[in-house]
Amino acid sequence: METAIFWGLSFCAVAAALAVVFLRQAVNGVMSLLALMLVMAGLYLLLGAQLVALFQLIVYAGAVLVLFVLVVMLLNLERKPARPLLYPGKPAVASLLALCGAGFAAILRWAPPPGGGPMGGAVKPAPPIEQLAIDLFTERLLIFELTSVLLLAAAVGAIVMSRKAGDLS
Amino acid sequence: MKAEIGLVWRLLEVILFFAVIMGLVAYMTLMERRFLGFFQVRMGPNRVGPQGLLQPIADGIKLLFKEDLTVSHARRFYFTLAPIISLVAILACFAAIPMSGRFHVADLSLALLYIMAFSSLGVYGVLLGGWSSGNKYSLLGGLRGAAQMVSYEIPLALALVGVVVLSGSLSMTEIVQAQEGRWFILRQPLGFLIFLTAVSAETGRTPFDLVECENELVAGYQTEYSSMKFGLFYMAEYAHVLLASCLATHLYLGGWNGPLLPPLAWFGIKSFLVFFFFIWVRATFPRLRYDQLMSLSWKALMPLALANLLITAALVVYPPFG
Repeated sequence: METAIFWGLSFCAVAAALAVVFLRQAVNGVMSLLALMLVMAGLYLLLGAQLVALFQLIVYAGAVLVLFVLVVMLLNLERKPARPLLYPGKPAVASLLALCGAGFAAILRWAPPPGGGPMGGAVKPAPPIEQLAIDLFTERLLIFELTSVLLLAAAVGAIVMSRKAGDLS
Repeated sequence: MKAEIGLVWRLLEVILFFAVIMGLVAYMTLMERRFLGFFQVRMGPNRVGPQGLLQPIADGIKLLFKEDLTVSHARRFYFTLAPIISLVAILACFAAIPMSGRFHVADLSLALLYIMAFSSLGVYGVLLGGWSSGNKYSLLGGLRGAAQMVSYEIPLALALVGVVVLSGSLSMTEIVQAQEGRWFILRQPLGFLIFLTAVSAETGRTPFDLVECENELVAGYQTEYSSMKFGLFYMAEYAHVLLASCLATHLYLGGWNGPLLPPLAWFGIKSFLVFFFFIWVRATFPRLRYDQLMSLSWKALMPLALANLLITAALVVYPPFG
């Protein structure tokens, strides 16, 4: 049962990821990205990582991608000519893609399976959320706080960049 | 064999649960219209059946048989997808809402996060509906809706963290059990107010119904919708209000705890009172301006929610009377 769900979800993930790259209209691309996020959440759930799955939904699907969609809709990109980029018809891109595909196939063929089976063996049950909090605020506190500083710097940078020249407000 | 019977029984339970939800949603429209009527010293719909009790059924039949229009410049796929996303995202949340200690679909240990996750997906319904209609009023409504929902989600989540800190759990059942004796509204009065404000902005009701504000935007993102597609949006809106009422009951008003009456009855009474409060607010307050709406969220609710969280956490770590 789990294997079937895993293959189904993986197929959807690959299809959605390809759609993100190859669909001509920006909105279709963004919506494929949304589908990809949802499928990823499903995969996390299958791995027993409920917390990661839910945060994937809240942060990526619920907030980050909404901004992408907003921007795409505001700019009304579809009136622009279709983007002239990355179609496998062009020889260079096609050979690059073939190389990547061959690489993946080689990895899949010769790499030792991690613990057997596509699921990577028995899935460990996720630790309770309390344990996660304890880890985050004791052992990994420094990294956690450094990440927040990084995010703050990024936010300040975004505000500075979006400000019009000469506008001090 | 026994396992199969158990499974079928469980499925029937789930179907019953959602049938109850959909029935409630239908009759909430009637309640709202009748009560709004009383607030405005008029009768409200009272012709179909005794006291207008058959009105929702008549409305449903009418919606189903109306012509399903799709305007020619709409993006068909997204135009159909939008109302479905809206309703599914909200209905999925109900899976984690227990109606009493026993009557529920799933008692998740991360229920609160699950509800946050799926209710945040509802934004796409509004956004896509507005954009795919190919109409400037719809687009404006959709964009407003998305901005409003994303900005009010933050104070809402911060207010909920206060409850989580107090109860030490994300599971609905445990949160309700933590309130036996003393409801969280007594320990989180500010949090409760922030929650109510943010959640009525999330549901897009007056005074926060900038999304479909009729004197500026016709009907916002719903302008081009007709028949059952419109019906789905409508149901999603009321289901969202129902979800908000159930959440307020569970998180702040002690859930199904109460003397004498059975738990289900207490849950029903409390949720109804919260819903009545929402109607009351709608009948009382005028609509905000859009800049007021945004500054309320970012300049008032956010700092208040953060302060509330800080004080709650401090009181939990250093209890004053113990």
